[in-house]
Amino acid sequence: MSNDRQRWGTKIGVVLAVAGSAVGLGNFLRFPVQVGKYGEGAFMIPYLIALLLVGIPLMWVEWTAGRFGGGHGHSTAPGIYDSLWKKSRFVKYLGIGGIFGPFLIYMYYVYIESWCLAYAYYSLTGQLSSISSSQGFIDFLSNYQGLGDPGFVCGTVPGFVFFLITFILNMTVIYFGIRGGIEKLCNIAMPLLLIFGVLLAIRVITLFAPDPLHPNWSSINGLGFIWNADLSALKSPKVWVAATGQIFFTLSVGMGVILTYSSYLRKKDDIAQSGLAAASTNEFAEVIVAGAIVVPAAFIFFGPGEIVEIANSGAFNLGFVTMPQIFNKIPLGALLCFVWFFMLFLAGITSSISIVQPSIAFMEDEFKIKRRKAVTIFGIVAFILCQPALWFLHRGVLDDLDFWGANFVIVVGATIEIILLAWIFGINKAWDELHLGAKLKVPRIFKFITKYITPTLLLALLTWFFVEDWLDIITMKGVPAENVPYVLGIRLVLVGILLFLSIMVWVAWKRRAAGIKAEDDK
Amino acid sequence: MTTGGWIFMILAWGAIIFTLVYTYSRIISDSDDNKDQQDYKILE
Repeated sequence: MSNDRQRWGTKIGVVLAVAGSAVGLGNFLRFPVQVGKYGEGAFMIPYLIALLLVGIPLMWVEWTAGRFGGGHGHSTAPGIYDSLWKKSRFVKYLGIGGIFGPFLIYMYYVYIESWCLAYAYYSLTGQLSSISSSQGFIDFLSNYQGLGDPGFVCGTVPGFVFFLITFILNMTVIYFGIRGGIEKLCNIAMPLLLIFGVLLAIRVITLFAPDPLHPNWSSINGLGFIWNADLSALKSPKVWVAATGQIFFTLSVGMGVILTYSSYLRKKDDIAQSGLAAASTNEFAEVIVAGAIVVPAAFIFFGPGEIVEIANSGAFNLGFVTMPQIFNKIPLGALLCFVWFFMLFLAGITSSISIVQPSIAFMEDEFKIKRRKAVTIFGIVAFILCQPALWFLHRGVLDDLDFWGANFVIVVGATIEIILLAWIFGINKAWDELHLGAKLKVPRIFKFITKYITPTLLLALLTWFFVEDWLDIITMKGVPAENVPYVLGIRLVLVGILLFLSIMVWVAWKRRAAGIKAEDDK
Repeated sequence: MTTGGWIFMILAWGAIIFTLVYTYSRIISDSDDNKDQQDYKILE
């Protein structure tokens, strides 16, 4: 059935590719913001519990479902769901989120990724090191994005050039396929990213307390801000929700990328072990590397009082305003600043290529379109649909795309996925499938967690998000009146994409059924 | 940083690094097994 399917070249290759997908800008920007936001010692206990109860079970669920679907000739969620629940004619439509979500994340993610490349370049040319104040960095970012004095549109020529370079790099990697493109890039980029991260972490930790006026503003106390557990904070449901949300975003679960990547595995590949290896690589990058760089650095130079304020100013402010400001105060700051932004770029590109793959795989599997033609089609469509995030950034378009792609679709997708595998496909069959070829035996407690605890937590999270946050965003509460037409416009585009994908799934299954009938008639 | 903070951090870092080293060392040592694998057959 699937002898001509693409395959990963090595076991380590697929682990690094999945880890590359998971390790993204969120590890280095979103995680420190979440840690800072809830105050000293509040975040890590809920975070680690959520990792065990939600993150790792979902990781195994996706690897299991993906490899199973791959065995049936499907690499994307519609086909994989269809193979998990053969009796249902409609379940394939629930899987559309596994293509739609990654595609709409791509519509803005590649632009943010290009900022990292641009800032790495500006670090080397000395343009960042010549800025001396916080306001200077804010203005620099604002001018780069074209927000300084925007007219109808806000983009700039440098912004567009770096976007173009990043977009072409992405398409080039995808053009060379799973083994020749994605795996090769991740084999180089992931170790390099981790080496850069460890070097930066060592540099920050060995700064100790450089300001004699503030001997308590030390790197060790910065680590203490993360790890001095505050048990009273555990009473706040908001911290638990934020920690569980972070686990989602960081592991790339629920969006359909791991389903696609693991569909290229062979029957006897050890997915229990590979899933755990990919998750631990991600946690190494997030908890150890990012945790030892960003929070301690901010603690040293701004003190404990300002950390919460910096965190509340958002991930972009932290990455593109606060961090370069910090590097300017350290010897060899320009070089370290380059390492920081290039590391972010590597984290970005290993993630962005992964979110392209579901769309390419859908065309290859369900319409038998050759890879290179599929990449060309994707490239043209994605290039056009990336433009609103560039030119209407000041109208809230990027934020709205981020909500639908990186929040709504992935939480809903993960909930559907785990119910499908643990309850409809059946936890016993799923458990056997997970252990097929596995040398690592997963503790049996995870069978119980996957069937009962994780789905319950996901449904609770979904309800909480919907009531507390999403309802206001969906109804555009708080969107300035002048931005409403733009936000509505992008939502209409998203509805169009969703309808188009639904029709494509319908057509693909009609063609498949017609093909089977023709074979039977012979 | 408090003593409790040190203990918590060392335990968490230790668990992550142990899992990382353990899984990667097994994957590397198993990598030769990958060569003679057959194509997937449907489980059902």
